[in-house]
Amino acid sequence: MTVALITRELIVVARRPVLVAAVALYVALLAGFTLIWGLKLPALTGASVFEILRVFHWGLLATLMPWVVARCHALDRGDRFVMLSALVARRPSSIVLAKVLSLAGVLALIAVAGAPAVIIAAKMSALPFSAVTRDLASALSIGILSSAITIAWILRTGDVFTSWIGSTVTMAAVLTAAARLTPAPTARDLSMLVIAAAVTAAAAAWSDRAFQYCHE
Amino acid sequence: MTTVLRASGLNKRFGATIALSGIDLQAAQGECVGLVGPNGGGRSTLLKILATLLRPTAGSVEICGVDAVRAPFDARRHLAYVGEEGVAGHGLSAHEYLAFVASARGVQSPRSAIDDALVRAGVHAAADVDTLSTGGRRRVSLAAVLLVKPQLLLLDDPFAGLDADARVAFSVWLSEIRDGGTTIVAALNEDRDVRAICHRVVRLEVKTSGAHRVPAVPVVASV
Repeated sequence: MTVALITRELIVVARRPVLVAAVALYVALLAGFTLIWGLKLPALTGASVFEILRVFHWGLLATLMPWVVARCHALDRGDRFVMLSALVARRPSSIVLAKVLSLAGVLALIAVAGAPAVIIAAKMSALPFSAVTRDLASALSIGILSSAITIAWILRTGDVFTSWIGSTVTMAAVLTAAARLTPAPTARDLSMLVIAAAVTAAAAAWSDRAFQYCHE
Repeated sequence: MTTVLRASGLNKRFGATIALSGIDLQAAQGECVGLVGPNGGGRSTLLKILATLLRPTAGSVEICGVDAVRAPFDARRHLAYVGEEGVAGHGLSAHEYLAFVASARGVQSPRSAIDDALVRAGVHAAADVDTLSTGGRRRVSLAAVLLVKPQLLLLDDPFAGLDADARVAFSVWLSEIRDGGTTIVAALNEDRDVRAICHRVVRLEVKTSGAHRVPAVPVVASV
């Protein structure tokens, strides 16, 4: 039955023109950065093109992914959320979980769309393909984290713009902390997944209380 | 006959305003109860409490044996509600919307059943729910809950915005699912609608005394 909620969310997201624009912008910026930095600009710090791209890539994902979630998802807020819960006879937490899962799936597609640029950067830096898969795993983790954090912000504020700004700032803080505290890529990705799970669980529990009844 | 709905001693206050007081209501399986009375009499509030969308200030509601005040999410599995709030399609077509509702409610509805429901409701399958007229969205809402066939159907002015043909079509449809065992409680404004589908009516009166509103009192009468 949660599958129905996920299917609905995916249909809604797939029909948003913003999604196509976001994917095009993401691929263009990532490819443009790789080619311009890799071919034209010298690496001042001695870092490889791949390492510089990773910083840019994470910053881009932390900004773009919350925007996609905030703009593309089916905005059910306030009493409409309660009505939806009643209509489908499902707890609000089920709806929250379905939103987080479906949007994480959409963000995974965006992350995969950027893979060619990452492969080019790895080739330029003479790195093995495992570096690409590690970067892709990080991008997927960032996608899951973005989905959870942005949905949590939307539930709290009910406003697209505020949610985007709030979740972008939150993402930046979490990614910075993750990069400093857990330098090992696998541990860093796992820590992001744990945070995503915790945020989703907290948002789901809160929604069961906040969206139990309509406003009076 | 099995009692599907049992509400007793229902009270509802919005701040200092008393919306409902001392409401008792029962409905058996396959029975249709009409809520009639003037606007502001508390019919919509009563239906929202029965639909677990509002929490009563006092009193109890039992739906299919489930305490709807203590366990609203469990009670919702047995009921469906159509109110004045329009459906939020988010770009879904009418067919997709019905398929979504049926699937989410765990109802096995083959494509043909959804198509039949849409034909009966007079809505084009590919129509964007968000761009339909008020009457069109009401048709989609009603078709969705009628497809689900809940044990308790709560309807707030279900024929609002519908033309004469649609009114007749939905009256027949509601009568069919009522005869199939679904209990219906509906707030209705027109006598012809009451006569078409209801077994009995509950009248909610509004009496004023000075600046205060006197609680609504149900008056049960046979149709």
